[in-house]
Amino acid sequence: MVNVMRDMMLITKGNFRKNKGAYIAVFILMFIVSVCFVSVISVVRNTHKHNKKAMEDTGLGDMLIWCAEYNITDFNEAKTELSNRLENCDAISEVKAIDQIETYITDINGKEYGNTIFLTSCDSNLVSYKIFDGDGNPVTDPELNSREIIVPISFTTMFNVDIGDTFTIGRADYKIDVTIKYFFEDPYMGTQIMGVKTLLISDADFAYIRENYKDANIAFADSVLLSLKKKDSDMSDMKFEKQINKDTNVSAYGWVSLTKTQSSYYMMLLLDVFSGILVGFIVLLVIIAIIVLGHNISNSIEKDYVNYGIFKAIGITSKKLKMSIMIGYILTCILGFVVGIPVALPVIKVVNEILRPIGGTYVETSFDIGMSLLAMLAILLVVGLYIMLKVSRISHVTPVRALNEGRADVHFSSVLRLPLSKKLLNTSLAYRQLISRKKQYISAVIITALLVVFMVLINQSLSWLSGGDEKIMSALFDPISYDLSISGETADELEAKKKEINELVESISGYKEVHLMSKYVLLDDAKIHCQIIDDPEAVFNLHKGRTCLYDDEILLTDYLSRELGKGIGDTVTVGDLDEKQEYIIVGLTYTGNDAGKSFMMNCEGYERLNKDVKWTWRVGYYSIDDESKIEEIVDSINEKYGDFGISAKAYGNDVDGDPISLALNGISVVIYVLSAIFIIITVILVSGKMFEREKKDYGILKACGFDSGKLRSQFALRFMFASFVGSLLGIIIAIISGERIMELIFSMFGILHLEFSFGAPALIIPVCVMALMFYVFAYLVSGKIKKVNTRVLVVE
Amino acid sequence: MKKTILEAKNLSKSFANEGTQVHVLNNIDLKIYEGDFTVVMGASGSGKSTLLYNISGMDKPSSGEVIFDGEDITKLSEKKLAKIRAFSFGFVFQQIHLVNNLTLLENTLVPGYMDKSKTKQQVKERANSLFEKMNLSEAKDRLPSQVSGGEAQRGAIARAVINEPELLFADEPTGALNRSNTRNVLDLMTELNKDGQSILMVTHDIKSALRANRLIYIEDGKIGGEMDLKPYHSLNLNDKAEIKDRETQVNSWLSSMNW
Repeated sequence: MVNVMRDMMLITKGNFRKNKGAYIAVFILMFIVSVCFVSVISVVRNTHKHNKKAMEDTGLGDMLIWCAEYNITDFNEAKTELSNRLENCDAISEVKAIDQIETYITDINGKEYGNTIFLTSCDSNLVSYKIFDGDGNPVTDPELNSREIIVPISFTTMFNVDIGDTFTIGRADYKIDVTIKYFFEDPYMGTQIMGVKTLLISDADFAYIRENYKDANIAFADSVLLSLKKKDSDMSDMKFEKQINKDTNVSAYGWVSLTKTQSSYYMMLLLDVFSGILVGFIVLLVIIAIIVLGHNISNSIEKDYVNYGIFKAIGITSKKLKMSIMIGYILTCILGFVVGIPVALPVIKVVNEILRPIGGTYVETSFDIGMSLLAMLAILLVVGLYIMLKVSRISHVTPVRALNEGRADVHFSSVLRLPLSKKLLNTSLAYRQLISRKKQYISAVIITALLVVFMVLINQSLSWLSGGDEKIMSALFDPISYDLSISGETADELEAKKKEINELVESISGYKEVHLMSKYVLLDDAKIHCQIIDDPEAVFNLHKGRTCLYDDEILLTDYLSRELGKGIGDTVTVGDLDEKQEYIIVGLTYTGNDAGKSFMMNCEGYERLNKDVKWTWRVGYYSIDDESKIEEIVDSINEKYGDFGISAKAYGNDVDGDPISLALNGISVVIYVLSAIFIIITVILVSGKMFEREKKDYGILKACGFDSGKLRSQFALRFMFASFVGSLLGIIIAIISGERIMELIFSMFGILHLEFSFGAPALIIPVCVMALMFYVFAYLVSGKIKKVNTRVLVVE
Repeated sequence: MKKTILEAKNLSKSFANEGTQVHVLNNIDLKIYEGDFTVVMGASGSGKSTLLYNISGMDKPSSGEVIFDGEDITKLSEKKLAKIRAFSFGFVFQQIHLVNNLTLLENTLVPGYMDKSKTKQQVKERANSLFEKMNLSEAKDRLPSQVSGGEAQRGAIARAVINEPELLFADEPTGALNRSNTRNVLDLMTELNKDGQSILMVTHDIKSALRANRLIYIEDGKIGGEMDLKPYHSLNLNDKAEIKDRETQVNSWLSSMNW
């Protein structure tokens, strides 16, 4: 046994010495895989764990309901009534009613923020948020002066503001300037992806606003946050929500409600989507690393063919030889993994810092060792099995065959052979060399194909999110397609000037105007986002059935349809306040609003639930007949009505800074950088083998009058050709499977149906980048051609 | 008066071997004349191949000059040297060095295509006429691995002369061939010389040396002596006595050089 081990270790050592470059390459690949995997796994799992604990630490319950004054005729009476109902509900163990003020941000960094804001007293003993300074250090005893405010960290990227900056809250004539003093962690809705935000103000300011603006509910409305705790902790949040609504109908009075599960889903949505993409990419890197590993093993077997014959001739078995190779590579992989783990720590720190404003939480920098090790172990297992497969050919080596080098003459014939061109001599020689040794480039082709698939999909997503001509963004996040929006600080302000505004628009170009209202109502006893539209024909993203023409019809998203298990022709119950009505599902749409949990009805449909509703619109969405006039209309409206609190905005103006685009941009940079590293390693390994084989050819061609520059260019061109073949393959795969992969990604945003075609830039950019990277790296690697002397052809 | 096409002055070449310097060429002065079939002979390790590679620009000497066309080629840039290799010099190696994924014809066309002054058609015509002359027409579209050693070496010669070089270098071109192929290759080189091609060939084979009109003997990196002969193509090859005389003459000269 000792002898066996000694023999194997000797051979392994010999392998290390002879194939140093190959082992270093495998080490680097596994090191990168380890850093990436450990970082992503740790960040994702730490964030999930942290968020769960942070929710508990706030002291809030399993379901939160925000109720606002303007929503209810007699707020105080409703509050008492609701409290009574909740206290008598068997499913609830604890009810907290936290007073809040509902308001809006009218000016933050020169922009208006359209979503609702809830102000809470920082000194409330019913809820406890963690406060941080600008460097991310916790502040245990925050001192908040008058007109100072604490905002979620996501404000830094949402509005490009920092501590010390001032912004304006309120509306119309009721506005207050507040200055950011600290940041806080809101584990329920601190993420950038959630529009509604809670802000903390001093107790004095809270009392001041309630006292001084009690009649100004268009700017500051009384509101209450109801926090409900489950009696039965085993009851699912969905069941709890339905039970509460059934027993108390409390959500019907609430503006919006969130269970812990829903909140976690939204809080983790971006992280989960992007980590999903990254994990997919890392798995791709593992596959590439395995391909490169296989290439290395084949190389070293070929290089040591004679030696294996000699070893066998002196009695060393195939098993020992195979084990020695296996030990070498497995040890290298383990080393790569082990070295990668500590390096992942600073990466985790950086990623946490990048994600902090997006996710809105202050996650600790630490490893998730258990899961990371498990992942590494799984990779090692796959690598081990693959090595076993690759080294199996050693069994076929017989001493005699090996000593005769065991290689037959290669006769090259191919239908792909093209005649040499005089004008493009270098290119045609490169092409000939490529097709005569196709096998050598298979790994480069496969690796390119895999990377291109990923790059194409990322590029396509980025092109959508940057708002291309097809307004795919609109399809993803808006139910209507529009060219510009005109909004007033209040609906009354807009209403007052509406006629004039529309005349002005008409004088520049024909138009069509649509209005939308978002509301949370009960759908089969669950609080769901509803969009009420005054012109149902304008619905853009309908893909099945027809639009909701009558007052008893609704449109569901695919996602909601799947969640409810109901489709076209089925009936649902919709409720608001104390009214409940039956509606028929007549069509399916796709939208990313509320992560797909959204449905639509027309104004008449909503009137069945609330016949007293007054349709006043704060925003009008315009489709302009002559699109070249959009800018002119926007400028004219802003110039003429800016002073009246009315502003116009062309579609897509804010898209650049949106978190999804930013994160996708970040991911695409990571993908391109890692791709570059993997391409360098692939080129080095593949070219190393080729160089040894072709050394003689370079000597011959130099003797014929080719200089090193031309030969290097031929060498690099071959890799470029191989990358083109790989890219083509990648594009075909992307086109065939792209829709499914994209649907998988976007299903996390609640979009189950996507109709798209790849844009030319999404396809061309990756192909060009890959070709360029392969050409440049191969050219650099081929520097050793300069050292080839025609003496390699001399027999002495 | 013969015209000098290449001249080596004080040419030396040394290699480092386990800490000691081995002087392979020692201050050699040599002129190569236009139209000559010059053969360099010497024992193994005498430095004859090293001489060939150093004066043909395939290798750099340790010191000395190699003057071609008024320029010292040892000091030329890689690009300029590559140009000389492509258009002014031709080279035939001992082993058959052809690019194995190109057919014999394509191997020949590659350097031909580098000549921008000629059209593709002209290069092809020249290659085809060379192949005809070399009896290679049937093998021209085959890969090196699909032809005999003799055919491959003749293909290599065709490649070396496609651009009508001023000087053709040959390093034991028959060293790896059997008797019949050796004769074919030597006949071809004689034929080329008859047509005016200057040749400098290294060999240790007396039969090959007989083809020269100028013999140079090299010993321990120095030129030991030289002898002029009648051009081989001017001999009556049917007169066996004349051939025998030439063989005796060469043999006795080589004996005098301690061969």
